[in-house]
Amino acid sequence: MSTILLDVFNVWTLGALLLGTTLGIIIGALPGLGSVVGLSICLPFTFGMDTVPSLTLLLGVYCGSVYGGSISAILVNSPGTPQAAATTLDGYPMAQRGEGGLALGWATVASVLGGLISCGVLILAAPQLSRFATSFGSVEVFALIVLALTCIAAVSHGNTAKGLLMGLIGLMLALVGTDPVTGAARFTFGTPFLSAGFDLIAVVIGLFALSEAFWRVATGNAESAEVSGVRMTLPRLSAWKGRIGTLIRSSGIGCLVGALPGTGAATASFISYAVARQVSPRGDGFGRGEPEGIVAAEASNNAVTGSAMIPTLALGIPGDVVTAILLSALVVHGITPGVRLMTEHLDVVNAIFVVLILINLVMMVVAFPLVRLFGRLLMIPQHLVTAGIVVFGILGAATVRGNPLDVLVAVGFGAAGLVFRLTGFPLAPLVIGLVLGPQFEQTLRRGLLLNDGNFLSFFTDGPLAAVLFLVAALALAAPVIGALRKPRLQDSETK
Amino acid sequence: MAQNSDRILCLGLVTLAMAAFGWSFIGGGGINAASTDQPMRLPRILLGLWALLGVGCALRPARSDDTSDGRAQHLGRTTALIGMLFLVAVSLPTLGYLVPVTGGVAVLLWLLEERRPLPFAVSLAVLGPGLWALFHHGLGLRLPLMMSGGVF
Amino acid sequence: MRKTTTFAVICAAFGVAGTAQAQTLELVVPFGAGGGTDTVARVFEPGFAAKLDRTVVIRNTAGASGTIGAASVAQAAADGNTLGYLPIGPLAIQPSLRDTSYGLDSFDYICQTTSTPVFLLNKSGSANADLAAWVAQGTEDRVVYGSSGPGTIPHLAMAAFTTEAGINSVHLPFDGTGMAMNAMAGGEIDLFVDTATVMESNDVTALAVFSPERLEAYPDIPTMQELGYDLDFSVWQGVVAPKGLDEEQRSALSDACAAAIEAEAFVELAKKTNTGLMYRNAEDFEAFVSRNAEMNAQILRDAGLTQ
Repeated sequence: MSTILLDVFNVWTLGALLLGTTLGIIIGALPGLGSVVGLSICLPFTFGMDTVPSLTLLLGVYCGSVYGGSISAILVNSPGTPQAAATTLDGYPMAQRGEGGLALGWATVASVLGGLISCGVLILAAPQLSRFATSFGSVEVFALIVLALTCIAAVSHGNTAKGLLMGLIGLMLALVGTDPVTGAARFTFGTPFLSAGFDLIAVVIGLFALSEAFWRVATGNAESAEVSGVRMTLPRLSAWKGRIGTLIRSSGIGCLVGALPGTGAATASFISYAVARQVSPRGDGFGRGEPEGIVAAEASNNAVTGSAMIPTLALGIPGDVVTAILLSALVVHGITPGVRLMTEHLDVVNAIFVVLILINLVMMVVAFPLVRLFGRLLMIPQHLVTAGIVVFGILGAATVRGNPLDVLVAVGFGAAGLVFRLTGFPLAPLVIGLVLGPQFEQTLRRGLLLNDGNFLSFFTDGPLAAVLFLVAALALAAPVIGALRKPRLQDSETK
Repeated sequence: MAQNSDRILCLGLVTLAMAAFGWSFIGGGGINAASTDQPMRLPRILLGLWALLGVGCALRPARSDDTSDGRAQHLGRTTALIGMLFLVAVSLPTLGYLVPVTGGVAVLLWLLEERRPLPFAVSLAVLGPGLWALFHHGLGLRLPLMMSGGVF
Repeated sequence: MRKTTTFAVICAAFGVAGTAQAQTLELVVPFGAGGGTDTVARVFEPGFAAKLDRTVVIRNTAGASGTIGAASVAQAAADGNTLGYLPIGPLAIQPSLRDTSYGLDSFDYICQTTSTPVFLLNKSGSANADLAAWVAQGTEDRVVYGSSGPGTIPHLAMAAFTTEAGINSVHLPFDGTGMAMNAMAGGEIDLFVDTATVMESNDVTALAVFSPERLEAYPDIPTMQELGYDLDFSVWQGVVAPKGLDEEQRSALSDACAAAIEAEAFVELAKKTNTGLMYRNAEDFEAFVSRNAEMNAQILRDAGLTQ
């Protein structure tokens, strides 16, 4: 125990902790820049550092950026990262009502608690959860993705047809590029650039950040929330009454999704948002500034930060780009990640546990001055805020894969996003489709390859898949049954 | 007017889906014809559903609540902004980042009606060269260059 | 008139500013920061820069299995200010798998830096104890093998093996090694091919190594040749320049590369990551890439993956 204390409580680690978390929140909060850009900035510096401080820096940037995305999602309706896309749904309406500070308070507390809960799960149940994660074969993951896709209906806000159409467009966009199974070029129109497919981050920058800037120009800022000088206010304890369940459930969903390789925080936040909307007695208020929507999105996406470490540390299997970068940092420092990591390098693993908890606590503290800083920043005239959104959007798109053509993609989706906003098409389903598309296709086709092309055998694959398909069917049927039961009410709701 | 633009968009999306459906038979494929599963099967199913839903959207009785046309008054200016950003994006690979983006920010500020000289100059310097220097040279995130080995 | 002069002066000033500091050398890595190739390149860079006495910066241009980054190197000016740190995939496999805007002759070759043999892996404690048992299963029924994507070395090596052994197989591609290893732990795939790093960090055991001779570090693992299959696969990396580099620059870069490989940090990283160091100079590397690409193209054709 004392060695862990020495590892963690020294100037270097604590400095890296503070610096990484702060930097991560700032980078996450800038529309356009997200976790990947933040880690790319810090990675070169870690080569000269000791193991624990360098991991601390990277983890701080990662957790900070996942939380930071919510700040711009709430205050300027542009999620700083794809993970925070679900947070805009209720966060921005709250800011428009003048409750931006309170919305940030909900987001912060939910993020921190979600993060801490997942740390607990990571410390107590990593081996069990990682073993459970390996029982998810292609068919099981496919069933989970189908379940996740059902949340498109939940974020379509009374216009299911348009929402489904946008979800399909998102799924289809995910298929552009090199076929992941055969390597064939699909819808690339002979261009090498399109063979790499559309980058999620570039599309999100266009759809949300750039189209928000265009919308502000088109409406003359008439619709923008008045957020200058905002200060974070924490929600009262009494307000948590009845919302604790959502916090715990969403953290649980985040922990489970995070433990599965290849899914990630954006998926988790949409699933838990959809589930919360179905289960919560305040579900009808979702999408119009209900704090519970923020809690659902933020608790789950930050819960992923801890549980994404489960396959990474227990099996050496990186779940996403971020954990892959963390693993490579381990390798550079001479630690072989993998099944033997927990037994051979328990000191490092324990240090990671302690650091993750500290990061969440530090986040709570530094969030206050950083939100004030952002509030101050937003005190500059609104049109300059708009200019800033545009420039950070371009910067983010240009750096995400180092390909200048991604800027063109972002601008194109910015224009499309404006058209969709003007015609009342919801944007979130498109992102859901794009996020889930690659996994949807790959797991479906791997399942078909394994079952000689017989789709029906998916349902007899095993109990886990059967349960997941059943839940997905229920999730699809629930709103239909609800709509049949109270058609009049549903109609008046959409007004 | 509002419902019409909604319908036009739906029909446009249907056309797009059908064009992509057609393309899936001409382009693509090519490589890997010998493989057991077909790379174009899922895209065709999705495009079919997309077209069906699009038709459904276009035929659906118009609803007053799902469009927000009236509030967008400055569409001309917005179009100019989008067009300008397209030009910036297209010129990035050849002209590098600094020059097109600085020019673009100047136009952007003008379009946003920033006419006071000092705020204009300060915003331009910060959002153009300032951020470029910070990211490209300060943080080591390489942005597109005009000349290989050059400074910008 | 005055305007034209001003314009000319501004242009000239820009031109000077653009070339004055022509000391920065950009090393393009065709994968994202933090990936396997990127990690090696970032440790390679300091030694390379020190020998050249220039500032070398890494530019990550990711996408399409590394072909976007490789294409950007091929298109860059051949002034020695842009080089590429490319692994086997974009250099010697992808051009025969898909339409890339570049080919083998789009580059001038500087040096090879690494060469790491790959192993045939199965889950530890699997029902089939050796390769012969898997071949038997594949002859009667089928074996399922994974890969980290179509046209990667894990795919190619297995495709070559199943063709040579004449067994029934199903290929399941995954988004990278991590997810394939998850599938192996869950029993979805039987066999996988990858480097010693992957072998060490997962609960898998090696059936054979795809190298001509047994490895010093793993003397107990038989070679594929001993088991009756004449297969030799490795993953390698090297430095290339856009075509048309002048001879003097090329040999200077090649020398700097040799020095960078011998640098202490690089040797240490190689040891930590079980990466094999392998220096080939410009001519040898060029000949090697051309041989290797031809062999890979043949495997793709034999396995029916390309026409």
